[in-house]
Amino acid sequence: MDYTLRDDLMLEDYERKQIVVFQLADEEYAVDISQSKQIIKVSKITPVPNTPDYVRGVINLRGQIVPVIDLRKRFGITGTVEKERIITIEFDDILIGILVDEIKEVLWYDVEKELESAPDIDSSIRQDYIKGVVKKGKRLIVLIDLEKLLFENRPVSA
Amino acid sequence: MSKRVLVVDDAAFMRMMIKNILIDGGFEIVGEAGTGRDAIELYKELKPDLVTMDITMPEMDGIDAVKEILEIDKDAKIIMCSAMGQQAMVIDAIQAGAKDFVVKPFKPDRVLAAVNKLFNE
Amino acid sequence: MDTKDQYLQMFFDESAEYLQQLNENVLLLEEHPEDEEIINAVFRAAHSVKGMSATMGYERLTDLTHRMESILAKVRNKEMTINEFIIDTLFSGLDYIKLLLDDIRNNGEERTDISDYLSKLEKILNNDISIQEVLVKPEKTDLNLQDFTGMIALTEEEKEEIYNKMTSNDRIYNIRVILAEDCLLKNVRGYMILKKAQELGYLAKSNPDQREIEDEDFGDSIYIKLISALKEKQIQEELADIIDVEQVIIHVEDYKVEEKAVVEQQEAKSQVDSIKKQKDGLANIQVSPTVRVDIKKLDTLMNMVGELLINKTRLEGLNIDSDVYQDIIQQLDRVTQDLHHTVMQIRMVPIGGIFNRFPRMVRDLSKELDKKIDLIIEGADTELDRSLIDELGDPLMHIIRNSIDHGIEKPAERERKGKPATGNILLQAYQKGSEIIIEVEDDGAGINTEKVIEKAIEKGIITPDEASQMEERDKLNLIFHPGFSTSEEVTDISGRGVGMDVVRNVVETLDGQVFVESELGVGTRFTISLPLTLAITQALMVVINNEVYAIPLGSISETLLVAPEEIIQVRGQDVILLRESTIPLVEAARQLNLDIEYGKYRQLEEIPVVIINSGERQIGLIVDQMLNQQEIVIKSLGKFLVNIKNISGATIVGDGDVALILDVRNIA
Repeated sequence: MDYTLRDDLMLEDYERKQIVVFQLADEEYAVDISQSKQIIKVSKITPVPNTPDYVRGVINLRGQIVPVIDLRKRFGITGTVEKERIITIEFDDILIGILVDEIKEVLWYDVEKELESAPDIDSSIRQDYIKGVVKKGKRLIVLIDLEKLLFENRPVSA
Repeated sequence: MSKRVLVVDDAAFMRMMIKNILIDGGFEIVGEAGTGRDAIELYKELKPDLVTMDITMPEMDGIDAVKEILEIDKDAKIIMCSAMGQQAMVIDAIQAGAKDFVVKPFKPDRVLAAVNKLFNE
Repeated sequence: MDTKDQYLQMFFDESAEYLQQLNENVLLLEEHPEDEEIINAVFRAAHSVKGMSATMGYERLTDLTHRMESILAKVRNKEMTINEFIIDTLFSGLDYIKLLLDDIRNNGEERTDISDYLSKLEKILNNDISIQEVLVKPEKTDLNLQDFTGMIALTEEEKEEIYNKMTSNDRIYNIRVILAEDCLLKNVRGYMILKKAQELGYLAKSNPDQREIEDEDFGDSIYIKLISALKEKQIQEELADIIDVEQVIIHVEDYKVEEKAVVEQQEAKSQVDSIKKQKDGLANIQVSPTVRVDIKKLDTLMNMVGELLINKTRLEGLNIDSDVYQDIIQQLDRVTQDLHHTVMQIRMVPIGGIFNRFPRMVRDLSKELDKKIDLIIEGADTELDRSLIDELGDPLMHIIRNSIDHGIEKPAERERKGKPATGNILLQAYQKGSEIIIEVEDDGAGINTEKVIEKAIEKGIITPDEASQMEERDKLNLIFHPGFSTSEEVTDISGRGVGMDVVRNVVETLDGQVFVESELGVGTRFTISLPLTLAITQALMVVINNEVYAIPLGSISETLLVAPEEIIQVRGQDVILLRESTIPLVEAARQLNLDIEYGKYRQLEEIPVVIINSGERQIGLIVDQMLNQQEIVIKSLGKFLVNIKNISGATIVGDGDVALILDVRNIA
């Protein structure tokens, strides 16, 4: 990447992290890039019966069966969906896909200067699942705590 | 060092053709013979690395020459130069110990392929 | 007579001289077929020799030179044009002249039989154009046969003899040696080929046989069945080394249905003896004494193991509350797994079976495209389950075709790039851990990811933004995306459109993976990895609410189409009577808690019902449609979705989609 020596030296002064930003309805959300593996266009998702409604189904990812979580349903966000993309996430050896509207970009943010804690912000999802909010100029990007989100079974609407 | 060749054919013209092909291919012609008998004598004298041998020649044909040369030197490398219609004789020659054969009219690449193969084994 | 003797020496001298001239001139004629001076020179020389021969009374020489003269006259009069065939014929004529002269010199008379040659000349003179086809040896064999084992099939006795002779290191090689088109003295080459084969092993059979080879009664190929302990590659090299051999195709004979499977016969007797002397225990460890098994029996065995597995599953489903029962179930589980595993081992077959069609394909295609390509095959003896063998053929063929079409550049371009003019495609199979790896690697142009991105964006597969964020590896993987290749671009190999996406699908249905690595200008490598053992089962595919599901056959008793009138109500439940048993009907959609209107099946004329063994009872599961029965590879749903009711796993079906496997053991 295009990091100059200057940036490296500055690391002692502030920490930067990278996130993948995506769109859900009117808001922007993001997940830590280290957790996200791949971005794919939605092909056939096979619905799985007897699962919560936010589990849209499973897909075939290079021969591996990967479940896909519908984030909108998880957060209880309504509205029309035009496009959909899947971000595959992996941690703890578990591979999952999360369904989002659109991928916006990959950003670096300054942990000290650009990250605010959640309670300050009014968002349509429960605070438990928010790690914080990244402020980039006028943009407010909600940083999601994936682990909590995926492994707790309660519905999430505020 | 170039490999040394003894060219055997009763037609001077044919010997010329083979010589040219072999010289182009980096070989050294150390002797020529026009009969089977001469071929044997020259072989004893020159001990070449390779012999190209015509099949029909006066005074002793190629097949007999092959047999005698191989008795002198069991590792002798001999390639038969055959014309169309001489199938049976070529087979005899190979059974007698010739390593390979080329057919007239000579195609330089075929001749060199056959010759070089002998030295690559 | 005196006159004759007197003139004999002159005759020899002069004809020798003319012959030399003729040789030189015909050579020139080959280079300059229109040059009148050369044509005349040849004509004159032939004419002179004719004159002398006639005078001396040598009939054959006279006939021969007379016809040659006539041909040249026609050429001179522009009634005939010189072509390669005529040049070759003329040279043959010169050779015959020499032979006849030698005859006379050595034996006093003409001995060489030139009648065939004379009639050939006659035909040319009569402008019999078809002569060229007539004189080319008619093919005895069907050259399009990819599998040429039929050419060298053995009788039962011959087979017996061979199997008895074979040692454990021996393999049966079926070899096709293709001679170059312009091979001269084919019978001698054929003889040399057989001779070499005999040096390499035991020559079980050849087609043409020795006699036919001597008579030159064959086409461009010699088929050989060779028993040898040498490696395929070595045999191939040795045979291909013979001059005039264009190509050597080998495949190891896999023991097919009509033949007996030989399961190793070691010649370790002396070794075993010495081991016996050394240690007691070792003598019993055995160096695998063997038994011959009929393939059909093997298949039956496999089926029975399958049924055993299924019944074991049913037994497990009984869930009897007893320690002894649990214990037995555990044991049974272990034993059946081992049994399945062992039988799967026996089902393994060398991959060489599907590799053997590729050399010919590469040769034909590279000729067509004016490219020079060497196909190197390694690991043809790597074994995999026989059910995979058929499936892999087409995907591999597609990948190799791709290499030839788009990978390997034309010789001129390769040389410009500093590469050898002949491109290489390496087709390799080997086992790595618990996987079989098959690689197709070429040293061609590599995949231009820029172009791939362009094309993908053009087809709407990705957006420019996404493209800019993609890693190299992901860019390469775009070629596997459905919709990347359109049907116009894709060559139809097996009657269906085949694109890289289909390749991926096929591999994934086999529970495998395919990926590609490439470096622009250097080359490309496709890697297919397959699991060594597969969890395969037979299943009935059904449709429930527009989704395809798989029901393991072991759980199914039978399938029916039920008329609504047959449904009876018992205590509010729909049931049917099946041979005196009452079978409750359960709507699959309801069982799966699908969000649709239930009970609509009552409006159908025929209701598809799958009779399932669930626990101790039988249940009639109502589905929307029954599709087909097929072998499926069982895949787990992953670690996130665990313990999903009624779903025991998933499988990937032909088009790459996922179909869920129903767990029907505990319905209702």
